[in-house]
Amino acid sequence: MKIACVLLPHLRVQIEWQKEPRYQGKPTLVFDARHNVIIEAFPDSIAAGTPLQAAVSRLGHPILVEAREADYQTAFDNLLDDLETVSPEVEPQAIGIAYVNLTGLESLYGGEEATLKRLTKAIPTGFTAHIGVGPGKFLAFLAAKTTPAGNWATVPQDTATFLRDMPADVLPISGENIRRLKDFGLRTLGQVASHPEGPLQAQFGKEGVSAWELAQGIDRSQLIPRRHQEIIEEKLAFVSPVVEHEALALAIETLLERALQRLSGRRARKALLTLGVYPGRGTVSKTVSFREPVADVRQALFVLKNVLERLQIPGPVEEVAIELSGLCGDAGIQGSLWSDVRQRENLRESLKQLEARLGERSPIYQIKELEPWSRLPERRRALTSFNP
Amino acid sequence: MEQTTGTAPGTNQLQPLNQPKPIKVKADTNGYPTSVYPGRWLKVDCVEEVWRIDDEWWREVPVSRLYFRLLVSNGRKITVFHDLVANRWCWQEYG
Repeated sequence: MKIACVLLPHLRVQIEWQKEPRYQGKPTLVFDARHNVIIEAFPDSIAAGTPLQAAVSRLGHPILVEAREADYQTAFDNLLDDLETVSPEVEPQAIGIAYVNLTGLESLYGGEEATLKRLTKAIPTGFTAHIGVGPGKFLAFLAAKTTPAGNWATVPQDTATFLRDMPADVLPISGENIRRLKDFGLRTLGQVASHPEGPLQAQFGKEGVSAWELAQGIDRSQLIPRRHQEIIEEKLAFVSPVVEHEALALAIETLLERALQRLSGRRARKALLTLGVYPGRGTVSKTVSFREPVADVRQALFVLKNVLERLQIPGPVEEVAIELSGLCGDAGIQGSLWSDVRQRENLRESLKQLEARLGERSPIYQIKELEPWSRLPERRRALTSFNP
Repeated sequence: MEQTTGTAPGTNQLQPLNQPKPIKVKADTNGYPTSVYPGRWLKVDCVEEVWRIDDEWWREVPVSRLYFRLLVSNGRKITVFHDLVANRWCWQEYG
């Protein structure tokens, strides 16, 4: 399999720079206003999760931008649409990182270089991207990380040499285990690879095996293309911006009536409510998963009204949009395994009856972790009776 | 010395997973397995790894095991250990 990793470093910052070109290249902090922590920063020296105050004091006078995740997600989705014009299999990993399956495309586009040129062209102008190509996602990601912006690089045949001096921090394992690897003196992938698999497994469990395999260049992860789903979207713009919840609720009801009519006998599992805030303050959005798929306006409106009441809206609203997704027929309504025993009491009673019928303790167990850190496998997990 | 609880594992509603299971093993003079018997005798094609675990030394019966990850003649990989305290061989899922 040949996979390309398209890496757009600090994509959120790049999107903000496109909106305000005068900020381009200046130290910029995209922060979460609710928790006052950094989501993304330029330059990279400020890590995500850094308190806003600490980040500002380190950068002097950075540009401060309140994060608008819905806008970033939309921009990234559009970028994925563009990448899908080159390959039908594109997997988004996180905002700014996508994997593209290139297998078989060379014969279509006339060679690897031509394919990669197409991929580069598919990225909208104004975005800085790095492209890495490798036999697996991890190697492709590393190749992308090590190539200059606007270029592509292919993982060399000698993967051992390629990986040898890479820092252990690039491994997709928990921060805690990265720290422990370093405590053991394993600071590079070469050092991790030079150890046998067993001790790493004994110390770090599954993540140890994963780290060891990746350090050897063995990547078992599969590319999982994003799924396309039918979305029903309805929008409504106010003549003048509104602030009253009643007006917003009425708009939502109107949109739901329109959208649900278009379902033609189906039901929707999810709704995305988006409010466009005046004047140009971006959007506020919230995705709702219905407990049961809805086809009825009253049922959906009840849920969305509750969401609306909890939303923090930073200004008057000039546009409301609703997207319904996860469409299914009546048969798609999920039946519960314990349909008549949702209540804890009923479940307990059913187990009692089961025990009475079997004449022994209920054979339903759950797995619990005892000492997951133990080097002795039999100490790590145990089966215990299921007591609801 | 720390006493064991005296409670056999598996009672009191807890059943530890991945318990070691006794297995017949033929070993060479260095103590390395040459054949194992998980139902029938299988030749060891390759000893892929060896590691030792010494633990619970503060208990009456400490743990001292020499683990072997083996590639056996039917192509499977199995993990066995030599219990150096009880001088017996066990097979165990290691993961």
